Amino acid sequence: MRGAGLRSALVFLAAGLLVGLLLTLKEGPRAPSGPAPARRVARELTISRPGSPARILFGASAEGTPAMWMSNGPGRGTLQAGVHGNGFPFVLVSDAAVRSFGLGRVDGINASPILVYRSDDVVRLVFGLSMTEAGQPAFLVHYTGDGTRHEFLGRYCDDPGRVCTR
Amino acid sequence: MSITTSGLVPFVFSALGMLAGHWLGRSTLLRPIEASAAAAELSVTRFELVDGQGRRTILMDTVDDRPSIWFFDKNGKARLNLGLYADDNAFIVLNDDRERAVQIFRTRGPESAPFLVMKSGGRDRIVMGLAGAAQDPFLVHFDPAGRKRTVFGSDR
Repeated sequence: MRGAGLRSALVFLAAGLLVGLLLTLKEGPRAPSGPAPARRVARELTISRPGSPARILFGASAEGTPAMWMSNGPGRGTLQAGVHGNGFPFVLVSDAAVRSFGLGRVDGINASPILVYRSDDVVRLVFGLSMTEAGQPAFLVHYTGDGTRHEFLGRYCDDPGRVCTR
Repeated sequence: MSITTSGLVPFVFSALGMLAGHWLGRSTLLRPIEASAAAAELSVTRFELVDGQGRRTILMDTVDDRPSIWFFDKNGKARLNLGLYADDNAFIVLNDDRERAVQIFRTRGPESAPFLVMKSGGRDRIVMGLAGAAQDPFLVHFDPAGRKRTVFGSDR
């Protein structure tokens, strides 16, 4: 009789343990408690919400340099920022295909600040400090839809090669 | 009395079992990986991204209660910085390889007027934005000798 009582007690204990465990695990991960840690280190950081395509990614570019990508999802416009392989920083707001964009960057041996607006894969406006001339005078050029160039201010070298940055 | 005691056995042992199961489930003994890998929210005062060699590449920090993000080149120089100034205006700053500001996108003043500043050798060379009570657009630039040229509007 005592043996039967002990067995049933153990059965109830085990059943209770199982139910308690299942109910607790069903709650999901707990939010961290206590003060925030002072410092965290990682190779990549993604910020997103379950069920949402919006995403912010901090990580390395194909060149191995630091970069950030921000998007509402595939096929949508993006915001990118980071450092090119040659060390020059950039900020880019663009469509998904990067055919239309506004680009702020630094380039050339004088580390000239440049602002570029491109529409449907055609550069329409470039503004900044000269990458080729001594003293880095200011320039602003814009292009009409047929490609006609207008130098509104200063001069700009628009050779597609890197010759303009040297 | 024995009937009462035997009737309590299921309740007492079930309750003890549930308490033990709850404790086990809450403890990190059974789910240490889940807690660290799938945290829904991460709050830190400082966050660093490092490359394969352990060099810092991106730093997110809240220095002086101001949020800021820095991107570093391969020489460890801060080349891009974005965040908020002490007066809550936002900024994006592109630096040269000596960490001197070269291009600044920012808002300024209580109206949060948009400004673009391009610099060379530490001096402002192009300033463009909205200014004045009416927030009118302006564009000024400075020649290599420092003489100011107004293209349109006024930066006052």
